Amino acid sequence: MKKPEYHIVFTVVLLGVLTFLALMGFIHTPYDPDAMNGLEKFAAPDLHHIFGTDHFGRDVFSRVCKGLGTTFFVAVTTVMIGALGGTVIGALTGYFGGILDEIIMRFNDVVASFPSVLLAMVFISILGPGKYNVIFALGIIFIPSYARMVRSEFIKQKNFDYVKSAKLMKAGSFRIMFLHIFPNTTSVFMSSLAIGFNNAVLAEAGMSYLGIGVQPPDASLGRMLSESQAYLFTAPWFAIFPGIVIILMILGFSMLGDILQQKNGGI
Amino acid sequence: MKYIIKKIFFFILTLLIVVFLTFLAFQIIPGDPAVSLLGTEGTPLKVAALREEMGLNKPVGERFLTWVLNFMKGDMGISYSYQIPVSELITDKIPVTFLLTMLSFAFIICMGIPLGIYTSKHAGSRLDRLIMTVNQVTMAIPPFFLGIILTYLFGLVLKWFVPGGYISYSDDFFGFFTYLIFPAIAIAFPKSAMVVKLFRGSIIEEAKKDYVRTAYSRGNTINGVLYGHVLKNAILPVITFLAVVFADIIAGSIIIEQVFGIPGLGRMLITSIQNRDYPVVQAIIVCIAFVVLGSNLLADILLKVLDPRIKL
Repeated sequence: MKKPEYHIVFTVVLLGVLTFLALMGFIHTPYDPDAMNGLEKFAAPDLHHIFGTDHFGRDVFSRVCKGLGTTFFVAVTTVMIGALGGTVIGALTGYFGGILDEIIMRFNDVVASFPSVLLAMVFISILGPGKYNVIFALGIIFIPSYARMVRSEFIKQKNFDYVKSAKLMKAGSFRIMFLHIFPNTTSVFMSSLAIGFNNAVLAEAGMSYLGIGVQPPDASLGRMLSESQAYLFTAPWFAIFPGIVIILMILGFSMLGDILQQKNGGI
Repeated sequence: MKYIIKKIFFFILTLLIVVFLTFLAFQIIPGDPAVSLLGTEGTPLKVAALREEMGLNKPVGERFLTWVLNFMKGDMGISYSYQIPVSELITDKIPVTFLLTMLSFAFIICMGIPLGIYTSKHAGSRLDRLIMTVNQVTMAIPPFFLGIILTYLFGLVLKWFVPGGYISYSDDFFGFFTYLIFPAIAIAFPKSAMVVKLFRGSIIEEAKKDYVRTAYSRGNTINGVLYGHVLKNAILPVITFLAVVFADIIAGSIIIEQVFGIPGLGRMLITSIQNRDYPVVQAIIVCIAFVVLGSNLLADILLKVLDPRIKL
């Protein structure tokens, strides 16, 4: 029974378009995202400004592209820090076990039971707001969930025959861990990257909305939403387009996560 | 029973660790609270006197102990920016956030559980596919954006409520309650979509097991098997998830309070973070930690009661 897999096509197209928009935000936008234009305040969407303009007459489409770029950057670097730190800790604790494993995992449980936005707020209240502090805070906070996932995979894999044979061949522990076991965990690992990416997007947008995340002059989708709220009645497009872009981004990555999970024989 | 005692022990231990870590985190911040408190009037002599008075000269361990003991007595220190005791600041905020959280949680259960049962019973039907598609999109909506949409639609266009027109519970409890309904929906909607997805998957997985076939072969109806056997097992992962959701609701309420202009704990937390008012931040974080860890403990106990096979 081979059904055409529309949802995969949809996901790929959606993520492709979003990546394209984000790249546009980095390279070239139709208007300067920060250029103010007093004559064109609150222009409704038309052919010149397809997403309309905001309270300073700035082009919402250009700002959405730029904000998307920032969000992508924050989410990717956050996930990278979290995944890298988590892999190292998870691999070591999972492979060697012992008392250190117990302590680290108990600590992990504490951190993992906390909502990430809340922990990030504690970090931000100490470090102060800003793009790099958000990345640092979220990155550190994401480490435990990756560590937990990698650890359980390593515990599962380390008793398999191929590991035993590698040990017999006198392969070093690090060689076994990262050249033999780690490639076998990629299936689970990839889908958790997609989930982590979504959590990062949500946390960044939420914190920027609250004004403690990405600071101007960096454009951010969350910040656009909080600015737009005061002009909701006069310029609903100012709020709706950034919001829809966030939804599409999270939708795309959660579907990607589901697809990766399905491909690897999950539910 | 042993299981529950063990769990309670771990609960207290983790809570202490969390409290210690938050305490420590606010100790390593650069800057002397005595200096920042006195501001421009801070002569070295005055600073030294205030440091003595605030107990800043004592070692960290001792200060931690006094802080914890005071905290348990209800003395949470004095707010830097308001100059009044923190407990006074937050006690009238707690009911607001509490009711918002409870209301959202109730919405999640009322929407998530029945829809999960319905879609799994009719899995594969046209309506199921429609619901699951809508569900997938709903899961992706950030609560604060949903809050903005609700404000626009029901507040500005349909005028069902006044955006920003929060009514204090001491003035008019009914008005207060109705004002919280839309914020609660904004928090609950995306989360209940997650509950639907998880519950549906869990029921469908459970229904494939052997005991279900046996139950059918004994002549039970679909509903008899579903409500008599399957749900009892399928609900277990959902309960664990609901504990996580509960923690997320509290984090979500921090943002939603900002969207709807509700003066709850979350708003207090944000302004305190922006003003670097550490005693308030610390107190609120510890309160939230207590609730989050407490909900995890409750979920563990509930799981044990429902499924005695679970071992620690």
